[in-house]
Amino acid sequence: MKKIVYLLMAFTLVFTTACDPMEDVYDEIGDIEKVITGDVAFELSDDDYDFLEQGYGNFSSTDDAKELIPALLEDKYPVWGAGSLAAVTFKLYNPKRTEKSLVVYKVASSDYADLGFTYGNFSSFEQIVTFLDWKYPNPADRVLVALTYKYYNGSVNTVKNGFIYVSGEWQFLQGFTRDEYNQMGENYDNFTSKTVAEKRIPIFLKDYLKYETVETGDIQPIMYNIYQTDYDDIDGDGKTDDKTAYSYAFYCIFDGNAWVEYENIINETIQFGNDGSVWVPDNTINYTLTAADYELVGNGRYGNFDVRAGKAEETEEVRLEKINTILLNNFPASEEGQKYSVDYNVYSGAAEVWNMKVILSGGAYVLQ
Amino acid sequence: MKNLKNWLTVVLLITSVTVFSQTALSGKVVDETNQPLPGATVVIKGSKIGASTDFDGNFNFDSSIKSGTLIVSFIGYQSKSVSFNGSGSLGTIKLAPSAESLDEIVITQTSFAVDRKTPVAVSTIKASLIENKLGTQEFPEILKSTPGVYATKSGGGFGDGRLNLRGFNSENVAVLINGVPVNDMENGRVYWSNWAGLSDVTGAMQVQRGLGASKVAVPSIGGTINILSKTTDIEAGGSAGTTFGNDNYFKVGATVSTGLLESGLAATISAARTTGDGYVDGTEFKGTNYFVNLSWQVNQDHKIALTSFGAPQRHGQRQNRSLISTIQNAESGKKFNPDWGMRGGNVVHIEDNFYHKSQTSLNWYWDINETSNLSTAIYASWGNGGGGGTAGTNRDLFQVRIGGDDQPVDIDNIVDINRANGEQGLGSEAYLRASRNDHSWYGMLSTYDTDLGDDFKLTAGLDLRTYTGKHFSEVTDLLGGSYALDNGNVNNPNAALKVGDKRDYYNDGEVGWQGVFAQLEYDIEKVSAFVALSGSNTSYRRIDYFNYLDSDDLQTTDKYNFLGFQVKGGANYRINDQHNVFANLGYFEKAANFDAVFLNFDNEHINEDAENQKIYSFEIGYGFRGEKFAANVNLYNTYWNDRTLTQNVQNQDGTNSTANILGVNAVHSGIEIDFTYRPIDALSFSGMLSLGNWEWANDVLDVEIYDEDQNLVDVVDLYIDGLKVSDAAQTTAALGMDWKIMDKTHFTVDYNYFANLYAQYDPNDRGTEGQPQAWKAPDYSTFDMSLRYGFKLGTLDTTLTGRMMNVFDTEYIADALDGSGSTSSTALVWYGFGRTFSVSAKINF
Repeated sequence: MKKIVYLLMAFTLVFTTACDPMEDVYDEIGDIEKVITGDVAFELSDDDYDFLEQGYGNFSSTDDAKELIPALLEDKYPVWGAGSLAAVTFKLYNPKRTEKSLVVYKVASSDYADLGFTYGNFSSFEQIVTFLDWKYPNPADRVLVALTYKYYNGSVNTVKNGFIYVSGEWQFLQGFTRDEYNQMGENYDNFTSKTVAEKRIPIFLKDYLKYETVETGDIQPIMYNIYQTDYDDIDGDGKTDDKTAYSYAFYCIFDGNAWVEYENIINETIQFGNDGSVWVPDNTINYTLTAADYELVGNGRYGNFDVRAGKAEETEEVRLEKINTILLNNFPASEEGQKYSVDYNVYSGAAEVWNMKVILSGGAYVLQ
Repeated sequence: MKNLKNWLTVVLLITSVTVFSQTALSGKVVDETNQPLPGATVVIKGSKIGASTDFDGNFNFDSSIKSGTLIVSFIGYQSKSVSFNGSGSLGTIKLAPSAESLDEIVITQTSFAVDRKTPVAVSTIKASLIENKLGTQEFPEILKSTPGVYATKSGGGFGDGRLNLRGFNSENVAVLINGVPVNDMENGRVYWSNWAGLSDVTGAMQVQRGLGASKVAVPSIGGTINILSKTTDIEAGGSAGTTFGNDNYFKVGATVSTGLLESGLAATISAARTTGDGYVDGTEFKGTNYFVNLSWQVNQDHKIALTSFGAPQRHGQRQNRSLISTIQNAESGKKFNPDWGMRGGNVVHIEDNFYHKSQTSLNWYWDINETSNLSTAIYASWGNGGGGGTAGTNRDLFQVRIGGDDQPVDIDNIVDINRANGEQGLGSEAYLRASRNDHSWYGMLSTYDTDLGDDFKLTAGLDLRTYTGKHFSEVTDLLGGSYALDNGNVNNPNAALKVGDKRDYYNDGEVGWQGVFAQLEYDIEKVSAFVALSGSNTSYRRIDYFNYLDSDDLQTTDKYNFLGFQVKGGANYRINDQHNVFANLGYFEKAANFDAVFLNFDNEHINEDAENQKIYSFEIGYGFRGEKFAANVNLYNTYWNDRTLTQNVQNQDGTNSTANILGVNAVHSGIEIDFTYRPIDALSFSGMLSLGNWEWANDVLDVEIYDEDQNLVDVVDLYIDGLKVSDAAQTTAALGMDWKIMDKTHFTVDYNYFANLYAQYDPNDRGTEGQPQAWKAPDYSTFDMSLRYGFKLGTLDTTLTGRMMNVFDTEYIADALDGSGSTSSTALVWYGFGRTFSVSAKINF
């Protein structure tokens, strides 16, 4: 009996030395916590602007947005890791300048001649700018020149458009013809009041630009006329109690459905990517290969890449080459610097999904 | 309970119980190492009166015969006669191992090795050990404490276990059930799920490492596993048992025997049903198994037996391995299975397996005269079933899960998509299929034995087999769709398939086998020796119903024949009663398998000159048999040369040629030690240590491949010199203790250690220089325990057994697949099971 007890004790000793075989492997693999990733698109809310301390509910520059929004993302998605994407739409204060002063002028025949425009008209915006620089060598900031001139575009027409001097550059404002004013319910080539103008112009634009390709967020600069008291002696007749046509700058924005008065705020979207520690602006597009993609590169039978040792897609070079073929085929319009995060099926002994991050560089996709 | 009692009473009444007994006989039967022999048959010579020993080897019965001779027999042991006169104990009766007693069970060529006589390394597992220790483990796992064996549960599905022997996988390990080879005729593999219930009716199981004692030509490069089913029970009676265990494991079964009747007839029927959820997620299973044995002692010279058994089952599988990080991050950890989904709240096994292989044999044993006998088995085996998986043009839908990556696949989502497709007249985008592998196999094995003088014995025989395997894929579930579009059949292109229709491929593999064998044995005083020769012709023919038009002659190929042969010999020298030494050596050539002949699974790329694999092996061994201590030491060296490596080369004119690349060689050498030690009657220890060194032998460089016109088309390099053979632990050790706490009550503890397990890779893919060894999985060890308690329930012997496997819930990797760079972070693995338990109750009546 004593012997048995000894033997049992010996056994017990062996038992208690049972260790954890996996310990070293876990150390080797290291932090195997799975990275949580997300892909989200949203528009900043009022609360978000408050969080970012943007009291006006908008950003005054894109750079500000790029700098500030990462903190918001960090707050909203604290557990997201590398590879996460967030496309954030925000309001950008992008003022379109109206005039501070007005000049009305009709280009004279001598003007064309003096500047060497031998046909007696303009035929490009550059020519008009040449004229403006010559005529007004030191323009006041935000001066609006309501210019009547002859313009050749297949045939010669006399038109009246606006040119406003903002931040050292002349910008074009579309004016209206007599016919167009008539269509807007006016008898002359002007509006009777600012209220009427701002109400009718957006309605008119929809029809006016119906053959143009218009996208949400497009801004249309307009110059319209109002027949009013000539306080500033715009017509240069020395009187300030008569009436004459005043011109005003006006901007409309297309909201996807209709034209509305532009209120100096545009929506802009920037995609941010999480690089593992911080959010940075990132144009990455997530893409998962489709059956047609595998077919394209000769992997249609199994719809995956065979990455086992000695098999066709074992090396990353081969996989990159095939993914290159696919992306170049599918997205011919991608611009230099466009990044893709590509998920693809592999057979590694088990069916798995692997990922490759590439960037278009020099006409081909390379690993990021 | 009352019903059971009534029923038992009836059973007892209809059998001839000797009520008016006068003589009470008792005793104990033990084996050569003084271990009790449970289930040994004790019968009074010239009568049908007798008993079987209980699990402590004891017997006890009454008889009206006052004096005579008791014949004590057990599978694999020499029968012993003991005379008696009146009541009393006959003490301890020790049986010596032998192959001779096996003729009683009327089976052909059992090829059992005999201790201290057959010169091969051998371990024998008796039925009682299986009953005690197997529990809910996979059948091959009962061998995990045997030297040279690496057995795992693979993916963990019911019946998915696997076994490697001396580093060789199942293609190179011969498995014989009642002497009949069962390795797949086309690819040589063994599917243990086919034999899931066999453990219930196993009489003995013997592992012969290396060349083995088998006379028929079998692919025993690693070794041979002989399984002998239970046979005629001398006594009428039977047993009923049930087991429950972790994860809703539940098994119930019974065995009934008529005993040997006056007419010379005996019948045994055994059946069981097993269900459970499986330890691994999504591996629910249902299995039944049956065994029927009818034997008839026609007269003194002729015995006939009909045996039929099978184990139909269906189970969810874990087909795919995962990264260690995936398993660590998964909610269910090591139970994580990527291959199942949920549909309407119910489990769907995306990967499953369903199979029923029946094995029926008619055996005839003819005692021709004093010196010779003929035993013949005619057998038939039919297999039906296959494995499930995914199909369709958008199989990516099977990656859409209910939640994260570790959650089940969202089948409802697929159903919605397929249903929407159906409304537009379109087929299923993603659906389930099964790859079927049905077969029919007929064979005959006939052996003639004759003594040549006193010292020589000649055995000669025939081994004929014909086999047809039917391979096809079929639609099993359209997952809400109305049909599946398939273009796999040139005879029926663009077919709209329904459930049950064949898809993708459909072909037959026909295999013929004609073998002859002969063995000459010499046995005198201290020396036993043998030399054996066998040769076989394998023929292959392929019929492809899908790739070729019915009008196309290519649909059926010619027959291609391949010859294989083996020659082996050995000698055993018994120095004295305690010591013996042996040596054996052999050479054999194994014909290439089906897929090495029909490359690319078609009828055009035929490798009619497929090379034989060549195996050369030698081994020496030493044995010690003491009163309390017995041990064996073996040293082996196996050269496996010209492992099948074929290349298919496209010529410039679009035709193809094939090349057989020679020189892919492996060397498996090692030492194996095992022992049993019984310091006192109540306590015994067993142990083993197996140290293998299994390596690929050499680089195969600059192998130039020429097409038929002798144009160089390719140059092949394989950098495999010194690479370790993968997929089996090269070092294993075990230590077991069996403590008899009190009468009929045993406590056992088993410790197993596994080391140097290299992740699986294919040496044929090692084409780049300077690649590292395959990733080495962590060494691990496990503890198992069991407690067995025997008692009388009324008059019935009852046994309760409780088992706990992996007592310390050790986390370990049992199976690994090498990944890119051969590191732990790319290896795909299956973890071994954590702690599991089972409790069994068995009543003998």
